[in-house]
Amino acid sequence: MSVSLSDILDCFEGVIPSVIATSDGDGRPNISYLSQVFHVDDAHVALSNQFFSKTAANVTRSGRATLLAVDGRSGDQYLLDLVFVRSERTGTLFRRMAAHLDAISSQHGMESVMALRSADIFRVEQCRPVPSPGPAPPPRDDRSAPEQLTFGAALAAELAFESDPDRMLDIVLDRLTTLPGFTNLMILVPDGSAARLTTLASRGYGNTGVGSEIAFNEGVIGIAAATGVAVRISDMSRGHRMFQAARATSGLVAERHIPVPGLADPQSQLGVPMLSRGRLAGVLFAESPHRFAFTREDERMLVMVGAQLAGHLGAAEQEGGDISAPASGIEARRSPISATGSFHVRYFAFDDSLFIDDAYVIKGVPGRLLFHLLSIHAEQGRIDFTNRELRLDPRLRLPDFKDNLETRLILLRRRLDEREAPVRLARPERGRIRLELRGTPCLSVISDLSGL
Amino acid sequence: MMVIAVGEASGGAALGRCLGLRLPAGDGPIEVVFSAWQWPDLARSAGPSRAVALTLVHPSTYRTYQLKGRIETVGEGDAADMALADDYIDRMIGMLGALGVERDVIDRWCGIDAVMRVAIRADDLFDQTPGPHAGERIPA
Repeated sequence: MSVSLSDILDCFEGVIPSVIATSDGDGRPNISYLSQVFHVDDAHVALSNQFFSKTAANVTRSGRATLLAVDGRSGDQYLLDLVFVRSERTGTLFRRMAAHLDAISSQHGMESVMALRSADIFRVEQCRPVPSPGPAPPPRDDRSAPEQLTFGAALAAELAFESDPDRMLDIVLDRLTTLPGFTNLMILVPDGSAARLTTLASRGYGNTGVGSEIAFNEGVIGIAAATGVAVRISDMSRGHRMFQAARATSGLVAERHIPVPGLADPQSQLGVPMLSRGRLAGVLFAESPHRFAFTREDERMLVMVGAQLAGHLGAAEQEGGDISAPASGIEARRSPISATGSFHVRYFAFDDSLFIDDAYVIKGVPGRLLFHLLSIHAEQGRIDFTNRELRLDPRLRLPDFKDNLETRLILLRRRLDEREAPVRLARPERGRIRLELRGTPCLSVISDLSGL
Repeated sequence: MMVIAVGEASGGAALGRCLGLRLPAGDGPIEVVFSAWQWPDLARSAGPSRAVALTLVHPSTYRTYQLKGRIETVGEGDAADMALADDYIDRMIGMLGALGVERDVIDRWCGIDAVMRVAIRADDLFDQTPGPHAGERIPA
């Protein structure tokens, strides 16, 4: 009896290691364990060639192997008779497998020893079920591909009618949380250096974590960002949890640390790069306390939604805010400060970090932006600004036209709201920013770290 | 956990999961047991003088060894072999359960019908723990 590979897709989730057995010219067998077996199509699988040199030699000689694949959800096992076809060291399949291996390796603390040498593609001559004791597991109740396609299409259509990037983020997160299993979500965006990602919005956590940071290549989120490939892990019970590796922080770093709003004990994670025109606009991330929470259909749907969101955010960035003339009734408004008293704003030039009344708010470009707005307010009393003037102001040192100003303003506004800060950002209309102040800001710049 | 494979001339191998291992007294062979019902290809291929490989993995540490040698004898399991399998399964359930593997899943790997016993004369032992020393021969 031969089983179709499309009927055993859970064997390719990388939850239970597969076993590959080969024999040399003398019939002497060799056994190796595999982190990954990828489903290529209904006649082919791809194996991760990492470190098993004896297996590689045997396959080179005979072109054949026997694989034991295990369904991590049911425990069912299958024996596959394999015939080697080719090795790939570049291309989409290789990148996907390398990203998944990176994620699995980092989960198990083996980043340095589990590099992917090649994606080895085999034709499956036969796939035989291994007899198993006990009752067959109940059928799965996964969302189907058509259901996810319908959901993704509806969400894409809703996004297409929205012009406000702030609203786009909320639409995506709010709609996704209506799906079973999508309880914990984040959207993160890269900083200017493309070395770190900053949390822009989230759902399902006690703390939104807006402004918290994750390094590229760190965990599922960082690997999805660094590789541009969706990463899905279906069972984290045996590995290190991403956020358990909370960095030991101290001094300057600790003072500026915002905790990432991750689950304490996630079992499934899915990170999808938001790509548009070849550029990373962010990462859409979902996690769950349950194993196998996200299917490959979920992954495909999220890739589609992530690309839509990236495209719309990019378009909004290009067109949003290039209003040169202040709108009537807005021009030259001077600050109606809504409360008496004052608050202290400290700006650290070395990392553009900003503290209000000794509490850390944000750093990087958003920190620089806020201090810039407050400085102009202090000099001129203005509270209304346009995106265009910010883009053209050399003092802000925005990178170039791809400055993601809109995104950074969203991040800043959300962070100030979350902190219930005495200064907030309002948007009276697209392309305009208004400072809302509760008290008079007293500004100071710290440029010399020796005073810290 | 243990996996045994018997070499095939084609280049593949017949393989299956073992249900226990008995270390030799003196210089006798190692004995392992498996279910011929669950692994019929392995049962057909396992015969005296056939080349064999056996891996032993500690699931929580990934410490892995591979032993190679030849089969000396093959026979039907007896009451002692059944007891060996029962004890092994109990310990595997405890060990894997502690790692979060569900009992229903483990049960699918533990067929104990038609237990067979294979005696193996080992002639090589390798460290196969993932890492820089994977594949290194361990001196006798």
